[in-house]
Formats: sequence, structure tokens, C-alpha cells
Amino acid sequence: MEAVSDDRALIKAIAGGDAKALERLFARNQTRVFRYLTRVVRNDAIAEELLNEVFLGVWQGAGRYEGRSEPTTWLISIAHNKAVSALRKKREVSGYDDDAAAEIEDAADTPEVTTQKIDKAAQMRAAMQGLSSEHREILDLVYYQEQSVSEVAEILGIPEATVKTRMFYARKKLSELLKARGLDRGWP
Amino acid sequence: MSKAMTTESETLSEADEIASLLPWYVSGRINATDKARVDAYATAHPEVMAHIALARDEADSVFADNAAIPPPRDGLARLQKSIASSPKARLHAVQASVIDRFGAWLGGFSPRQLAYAGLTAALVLAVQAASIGSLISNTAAPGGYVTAGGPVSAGGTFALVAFQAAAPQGTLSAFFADNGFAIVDGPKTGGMYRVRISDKVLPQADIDAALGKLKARTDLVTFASAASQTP
Repeated sequence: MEAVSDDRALIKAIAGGDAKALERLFARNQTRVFRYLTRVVRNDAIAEELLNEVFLGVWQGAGRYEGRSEPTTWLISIAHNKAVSALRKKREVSGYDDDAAAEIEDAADTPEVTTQKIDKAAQMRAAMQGLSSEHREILDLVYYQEQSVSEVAEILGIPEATVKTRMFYARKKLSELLKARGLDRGWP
Repeated sequence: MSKAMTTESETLSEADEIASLLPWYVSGRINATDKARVDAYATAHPEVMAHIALARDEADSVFADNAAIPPPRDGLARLQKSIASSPKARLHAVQASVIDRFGAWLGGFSPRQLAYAGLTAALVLAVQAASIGSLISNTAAPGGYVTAGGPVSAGGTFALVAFQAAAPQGTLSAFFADNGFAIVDGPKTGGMYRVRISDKVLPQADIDAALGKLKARTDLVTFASAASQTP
């Protein structure tokens, strides 16, 4: 709770033009936000650029933070919007769909994947790479970012019921990908 | 266990709804109602415990994936560069510069000089207020006007006037008596006083004439302007 109130105080100071407060907020949250961005856009360089844009957005828009949501939820929601825009732009420019490509790549049982089958955890991680960015994102938001149903709904801008069904389909798809790799989880 | 589902808008069966809640159950970010629902369902359907174990495996995998991502390179340096060139930073830099320049100017004075200058300014204002305050009671029209905080005449024509700090009280009093002026309120912000220039509502030409008389006495008046009928 202290960390949350500290972040709230920092955002208030940033709204008043305190650049040092922005640096502190950045230091406290950069890893969390960067990992989220990297997992969604799957490109370190783009994630670094977006990380900068997220905190530049905080610098410019801290005055609009009303304190209704947790600071982390607010930061991740800004990151989500940046990531969605970047992915859309990437598709428009290159016509390349990472999500479709992920599924195609997953179907190919490379020698590396065969080796990974020895390790259940590695197999799970490999299967997660085959999920769409939407499904990977919701798993990250809940397991790593530890966001509640209502917070995920706020970040993604969708109803809570849709959050739950999206999570269901993400996990179902994960089971299918694992099954394709020879690991039947027995669910669904 | 689950019926066929292809879109996010479809309704989930009870078992699938419970399955959809398990990630929050594992992360501890589940609300009390949903947690009670999962607990009750697990009591009636022990196989759910195996599903909870699956969710824990997923959580472990997500954590491992995230832990493998190295921290961003030069993130802070890049951010500092970005905010330095942002409009908001430039605005704050200008404000800080003005304050710094004012601070530097003040810094040219010794603490004793600053204290003396402040004291002198305060004394000038206090002396002027006392002098003109006494003038207010001397020049107020009979049955009419009192100083700040008291009742003010409802009618007449008024001006806002600032006086020379060294305006002689006798000269000022005589000038006001000769012209039928009376100070009715003040001092206000900026050392301004409210002056009744007539107990009637004057036409603009007469107002201008009265203001002209006030402005002409540069030995007594530093500023004069028409004021509204109500303070």
C-alpha cells in the first residue's frame, strides 16, 4: 500500500512539473511496464521505444490522473494503448500478422521444440509463444501484473464478462497448443 | 466438460466459468464473491483442484518468461532527453529562469539591506495609510461615508485613486475640499483608494473633467480611473 501511495504522490508531483518525480516513477515501474510491452509486441527495440512513449505520456498527462484506479493499472493501460497502436501500425505497414505467424510457427515441430519436450515448463513457455497477442496479454495481466478482473477490464476497455471469457479461451487455446506438442493437460 | 464455444460473447457453462476464474484464484486478485463460488464448486467437484494446479503451472511459466526479459537499456537517459525537449519542460524552465533571475537580483543585496528595504516599504505604506486614513474621516461628507469595512454611500460617482507616498496631508485635504472629493474606502489591493468625486451620477464629460483634475496633481496622485458605483 505504501508503494501505491508513493506512486500516487509521484504522479501528483509530475503533474506539477517535477521531472525528478517522473524519474523516480520510471525507476520504480520501468521493468514491469517494459516486460508487459515486450510480451505484447514481441520486439525489444519497439518495446523500448514504447516504454519511452508511455512515460512521456505520463509526463504530459499526469494532471489527468484522477486517482480512481491504481497507479499500476493506469500505467499499464497507457502501455496497452501504445502497444495496440504500434501493432496496428506494424500490420498496416508490413501486412505481417504476428498472431497468425505465431500459430503457423507453432505447428512446426522443430528440433528445438523436440528438445524442449523433455522439459514440461519449457514446453509450456514455448506453447505460450503460440498464443495470439490478446491471449498472451491477458495471461500476463493476471499472472504477472496481478491485475483483478475489473482492472483488466479497465486496461483493455472491455466488459468484465468479456475479460473472463477471453481468459477462458486463452487457457483453452494454450491446452490445444500443448496437446499439439504431445502434452495433454486433461482440460478442457 | 465444456460446450463448444467460439466467441467471447457466448455464455460459459458453470464449469467453464469456474475455469475462467482460476487464474485470479491463483493470483489472489479474486473478489470475495468469486472466491466463495470457486471454493464451493471445488468442494462439490474435487477435480477442480487439478485445474488449479494447471493454473499454477501457467503462472510459473508466465513469471519465468517475464524474468527472462532483460531490463531496458538506457531507458532513463532516453526519457530524460525526451522530457527535456517537451513543451511542458520548456514552460517550467522559463518559469524557473524568471524565479532564478529574480533570486539573483535579490542576491545582490545583503540580508541587512533586504531587511531594511522591506521594512522601509512597509513603513511607507503604513504611514500613507495612516495619513490618508485620517483624511478619510476629515473629508467624508456629513451623514455619508466611512472608511473600509463601514457603510458606503449608495449613490454618486466614484474613482479609484493611488497617491504619492509623500503626499502632504494638508495639501491633499485642501485639494479634496476645493473639489468636493471624498475618500470613502481603502486602501485596496495595490494601495488604491475609492474616492467619491460627486454625490450625483455625473455625465461622462464631468467624470473625465474630475479625473483630469486628479491626474493633473502629480505631486499628490499617481493614478486615477473611473470606478463603478458599487465597490
